[in-house]
Amino acid sequence: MRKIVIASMLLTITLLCSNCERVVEFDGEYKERKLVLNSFIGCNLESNTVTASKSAFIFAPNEYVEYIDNLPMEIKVNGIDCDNIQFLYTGEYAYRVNLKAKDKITIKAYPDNGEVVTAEEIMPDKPTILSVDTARFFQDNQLYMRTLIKIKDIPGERNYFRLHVRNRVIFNEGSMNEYYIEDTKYFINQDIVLSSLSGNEIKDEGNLYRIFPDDLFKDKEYTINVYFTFKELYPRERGEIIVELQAISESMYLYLRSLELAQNREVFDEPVKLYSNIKGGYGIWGTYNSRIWTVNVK
Amino acid sequence: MRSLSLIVLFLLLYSSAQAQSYTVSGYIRDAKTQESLIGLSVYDTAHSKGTTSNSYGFYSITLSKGKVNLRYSYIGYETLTSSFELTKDTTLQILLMPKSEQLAEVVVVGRNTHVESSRLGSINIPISQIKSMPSLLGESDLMKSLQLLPGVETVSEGKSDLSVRGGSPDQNLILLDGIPLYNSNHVFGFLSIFNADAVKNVNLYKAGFPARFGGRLSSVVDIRTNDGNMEHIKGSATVGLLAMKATVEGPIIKGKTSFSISMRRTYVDLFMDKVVDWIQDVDNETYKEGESSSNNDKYNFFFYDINAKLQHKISEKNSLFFLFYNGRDKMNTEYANKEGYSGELDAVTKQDWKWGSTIMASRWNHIVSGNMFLNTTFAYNSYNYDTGIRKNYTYFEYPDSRARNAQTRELVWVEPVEKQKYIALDYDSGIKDYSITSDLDFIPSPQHYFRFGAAYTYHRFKPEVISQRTGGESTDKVNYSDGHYIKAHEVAFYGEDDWDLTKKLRLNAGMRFSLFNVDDKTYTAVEPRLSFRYLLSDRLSAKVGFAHMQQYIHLLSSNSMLLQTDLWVPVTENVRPMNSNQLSAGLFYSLPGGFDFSVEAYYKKMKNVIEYKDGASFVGVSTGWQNKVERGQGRSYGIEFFVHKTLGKTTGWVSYALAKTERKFDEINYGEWFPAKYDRRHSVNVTVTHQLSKHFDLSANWLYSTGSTMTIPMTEVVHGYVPEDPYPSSSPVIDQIEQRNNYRMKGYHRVDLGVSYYTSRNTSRHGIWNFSVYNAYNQMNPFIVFTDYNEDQNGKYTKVMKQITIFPFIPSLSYTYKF
Repeated sequence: MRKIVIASMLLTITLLCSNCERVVEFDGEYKERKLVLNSFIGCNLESNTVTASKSAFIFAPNEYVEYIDNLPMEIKVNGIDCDNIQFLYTGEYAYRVNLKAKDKITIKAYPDNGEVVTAEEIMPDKPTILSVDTARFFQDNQLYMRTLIKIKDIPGERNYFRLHVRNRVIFNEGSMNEYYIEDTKYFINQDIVLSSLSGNEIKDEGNLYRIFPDDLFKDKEYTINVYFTFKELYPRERGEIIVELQAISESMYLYLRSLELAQNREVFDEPVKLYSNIKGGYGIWGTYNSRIWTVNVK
Repeated sequence: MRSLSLIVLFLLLYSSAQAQSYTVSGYIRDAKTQESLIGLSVYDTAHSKGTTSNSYGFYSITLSKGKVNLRYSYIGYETLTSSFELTKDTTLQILLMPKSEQLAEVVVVGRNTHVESSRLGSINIPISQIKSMPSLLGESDLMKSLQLLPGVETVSEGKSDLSVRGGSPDQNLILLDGIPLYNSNHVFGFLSIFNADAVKNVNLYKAGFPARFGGRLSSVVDIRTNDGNMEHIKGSATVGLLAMKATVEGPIIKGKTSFSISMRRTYVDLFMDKVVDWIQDVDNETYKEGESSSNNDKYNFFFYDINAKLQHKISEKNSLFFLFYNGRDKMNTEYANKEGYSGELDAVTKQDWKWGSTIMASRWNHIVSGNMFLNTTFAYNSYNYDTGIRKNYTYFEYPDSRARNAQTRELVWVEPVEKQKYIALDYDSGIKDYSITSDLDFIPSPQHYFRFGAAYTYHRFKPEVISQRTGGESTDKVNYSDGHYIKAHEVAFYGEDDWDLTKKLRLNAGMRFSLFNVDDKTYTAVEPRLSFRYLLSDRLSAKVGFAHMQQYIHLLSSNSMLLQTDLWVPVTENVRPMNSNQLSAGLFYSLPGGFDFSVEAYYKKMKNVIEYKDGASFVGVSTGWQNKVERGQGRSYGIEFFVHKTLGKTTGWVSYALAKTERKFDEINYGEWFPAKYDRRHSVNVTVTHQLSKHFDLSANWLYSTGSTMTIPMTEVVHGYVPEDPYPSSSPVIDQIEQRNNYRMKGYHRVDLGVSYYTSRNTSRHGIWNFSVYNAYNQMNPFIVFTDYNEDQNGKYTKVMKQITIFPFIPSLSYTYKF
């Protein structure tokens, strides 16, 4: 009997440990290739671009994402055709439109599978920066520059914002050798609206795209608190802090949020559905309107 | 207090109004063991009236003065008849003799609880049937047996957790002798904590919940353990492939005081080290000479559980019970590295996982009068989940490069000093409850069965306590410690009546009031419960039920984690209580020969169910778990067919369920409904146990269910180039997921077979050999699937789907000796 028990044990362990992981054939439905359109449309830009590509079903052999170079498409602003769409390279197209707040901008594309892919978006209002204040502080033998950006929410609607701050040092200003360097690395962990994007702990910098909704300051003013490491300026150097506040469309906010979560997902994190507002396809047709405020640093 | 006075006044008035009737009451027990018998049918053939014994074996029937002819019948017992002239309130303690030969047919006289009861969505499975089912690794598993019932699904392959009618596992109220359990899992959920030898009775409620149950949305699993043999010392010992267990019960004072104790412990840990060493030796031999192998990992695992009960009859009217349960799982791993990071040498990293529950309770059963029974329970209940990592290593501390000779002032070389250091991280979570519960059964007439009760629970949650320590040869420093306790109070009052409105129409109407107070926030709920039964004939009834349920605690459990990661948290201001409304209706039919047939349909709507947000991580949940979960709604609907054969040589059931369950959250899946991970469209179960002869029992299960859902990427796209992107991604390609739970795994099916050999059935001392085969045709059912890269012969990588199967064909053998 002892032999039977031991033999059963060994057989069990062997079966449990062997061949538990294997490659299996995907038995679900094949996902048809779809057109992917990506464009972040800036209100103040001279020219905007849209990228066109095809999605790929990952379990299909030899099927990879492909850029589309000759895609028929129409872009309209408030129903008026934009007739200057120009193919640039590898799936990228440029177009010039005069945009202002509340304009409706639409795209209609005709991929070779016979479907019509569409998207539309409204240009947000220009955001308001009321003031930008700076102050130096020391912590752990390191000099930092704190930047307090006072903004005002656009009343009566839900708004989404994106912040971009550049710390620029201009060298040899006015001379033939003038040049500048920019540092765009800054810390947001002292600001509640910027640091509560995913609910996760701040991973390194967190909130890669510096996006935030107006949930915590609806219809009110709010002072954003960001800071960065700073070096004292030498003679022949001049500093500028360039604050760019973008009012972004809800679609752009949802897309950037999902993109960051998807790009930084770790093994045990929940899956992320990448947002899309392209009907009949994937991608993003997002709009933003910027306000720039520059502060000279002495 | 005022409402309590009103209830007492009402009961007294009602009793006096029934003055022309007399009550027959008492306990019904097994004649050999004096174990109380639950749900036994008592029927007076003279008046065509009946009742059933309650969860403590107490019965009460109030009848008109005159001749009575009471018949007591129960499956597996000789029917007992008692005829007498009823002239006064009478106490009749009933001892039923078990049938010596279970092969004989039993005829249930008078009442057919399947058809006559107003309950729907509830099933009772005899524990003897559970024990005779095929087992996994030689362990009969109560929870896995319940998974074979219609409307009950496993959460994933091999797991003991239940999903009942589309609900999550934390929505099941699992009661051990009336005390809620927070953990029912051993071995990361692959075995349940219930030792079948200690269990007397199991009832599962899926709908039409009586008002006495509350606090969970989807089901009640009411498990009652053995009280202990009052007459003789009895016991059993079992050796299986995974564990060994022993049960002993008997009288301390014959007929007055008894004990029952069951213990189970794995013994694989005793030889696990050697098996792992052996596997690694083989593995290391494959390394070429000169190469070093870092394969020095060690793993070990064990669990144990103890169920103990002490019963003391103070008098015919008063009994005391003391209950103790303790169960623990422990897994540890050890990784050794000769050279680690940053100059670490001989680093040894040990990780421990420990979890388990402890319950201590005392119960007082008191017969207030012939038709009034009081049960009062004081309980302490704790569940803990702890894990810790500790790394010990040595390093060389180099001397100060500026050290100089004191006399010559020349720089000198000082030998580096070897030092020991450790870094440790501990993570604790858990919940502790202190509770008092009082339940009063009042049976004024055969037409009414009132139940009233109140419960108070003081919860102390420890969602997470994390501490980090470092130390050396003489130092010990706590670098970081965080976490706090959350205290909460839960109160409930209920009242219900099982009321025969007419001979054909019965109503079970109840109301439960619940209150939960946490962090100065108080939630209350009024939970109506209603079910009707209409007798269409003696053998056919139609039933309709409605139940509103409220749940104040949540279990955070990661979708992605395969290990035990359960974290119980209370409701908060933002995460509100879950609640559900379930409407169900069914037809119940009994055929001669012990066949019960039922078909039930249900619709369940759930509010405030929670789910982790997109991208949320279980790790580091202490930094605001509330921000990581999303509140939403769920809905489940379906129809279940069930044929249950309870009598004869061959018993078992066949069931089919057609169901759909979905979830909807504002910020998950962008507000669109998606299939819940518990969604199974079709599910079929066949369970058969056959007594072949005096020596042999055969058993078999076959089950099929639609595959479970999970989220995997199937499409790749080019993502947008983000203007002013400070850290542009190296690849423009990213996975596009259509929706949460977008992939359904292959259908799950398997056959389990078992054969039991009894050396004798008629003697008290005998042995039972059980040989079982789990997954007899070696179906490679998926436990999890995921995408990965495969490299072909040309070095080209392609994405493929991989599957992990954890339970292929598994034979097992166990031997039980009964005495």
